[in-house]
Amino acid sequence: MKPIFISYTSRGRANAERLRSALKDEGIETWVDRDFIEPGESWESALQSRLREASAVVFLIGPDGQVSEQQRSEATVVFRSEWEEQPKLPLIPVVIGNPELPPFLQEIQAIRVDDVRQGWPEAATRIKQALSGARSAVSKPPSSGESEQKARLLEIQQFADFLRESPAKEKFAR
Amino acid sequence: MAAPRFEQSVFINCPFDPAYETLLHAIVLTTVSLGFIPRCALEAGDADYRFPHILELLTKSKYSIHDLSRFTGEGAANLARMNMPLELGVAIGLKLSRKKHRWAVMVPTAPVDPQAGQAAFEYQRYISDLAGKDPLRHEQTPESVVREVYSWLKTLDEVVNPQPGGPAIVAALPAFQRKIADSKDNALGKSIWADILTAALEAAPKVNA
Repeated sequence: MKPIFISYTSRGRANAERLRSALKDEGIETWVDRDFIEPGESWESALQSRLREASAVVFLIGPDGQVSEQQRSEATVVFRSEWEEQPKLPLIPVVIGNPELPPFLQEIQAIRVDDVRQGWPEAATRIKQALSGARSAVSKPPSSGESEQKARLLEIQQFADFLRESPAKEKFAR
Repeated sequence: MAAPRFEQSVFINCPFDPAYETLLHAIVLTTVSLGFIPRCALEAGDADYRFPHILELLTKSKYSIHDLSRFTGEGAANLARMNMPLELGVAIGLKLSRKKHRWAVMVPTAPVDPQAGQAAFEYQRYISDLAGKDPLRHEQTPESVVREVYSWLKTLDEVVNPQPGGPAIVAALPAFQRKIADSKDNALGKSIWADILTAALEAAPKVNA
């Protein structure tokens, strides 16, 4: 199996190491940013080229559900790579506890870790199972976003109407 | 409705010249398709293209996108346009002042001037202070602009969920351009921001239930 890239926050570094160790026990090689990015190097370019050799990207999310700026940038690189690489690289959220996930991970089946001391071997096994099965194994059935998008588009229409009808008011009243 | 929600607003700082127009439209369609409201100086029409107005739009937007495509000198005097770097600086200042603001910089990778050669990493020379924060890099095509803006907006907390696919947005671009052309004809050749927003709403690929 090709290596897995692990994206984590600085606060999650110890857990990232635990997960790496558990995945190594499963025979899976892993990368994290500091493995291949030299000081002064364009890390996005380095990551983008490495992703071509990866089998998946794991987003390690802490109990607060927060995503770091670095993780968002890594997600941007992953989404950009989807335009070139087919099939898409699987994203696997590995989540400590049960926080609400950022939208870009909500449509993906997450692997939950309840015990940060002993839960990593099971998480590693589930990652391996997910990757050895169909890639769809890590995707949730799509939820209905029609009403949310419809509501957003309606708000934009209202703003466009407002601009059209009273541009002077829009300029000075805000 | 007095103004769009802060969390949903994306300030667009880019060239407004005819050569960039199709790229601006690519940004607008992508932004609208993902449930955000694009805001820029054009929304005030010709009447209020003042820096205070731009500052107000920036501070009322949680997000901003800054395209530094016009970094070379232009015209007989060989002058570069400094407005875009200036507004980028304001956005960075907003972020540093602990206000909720996130910004993205876009740069061209294809040479702006083919005679000048490859430009893939030229930004490292003309804005070296960005070292360590890689910009979004497009090839000065609408498709590549959609790809970059989509990949960035998709990571934001307020993105509509689920989202239409990026290729569907690219596929919707020709219809969007036609709608803009129609509305421009109806406005005696003038581009009206509200009409561009409406055209984007109509052309945006819809998420199926």
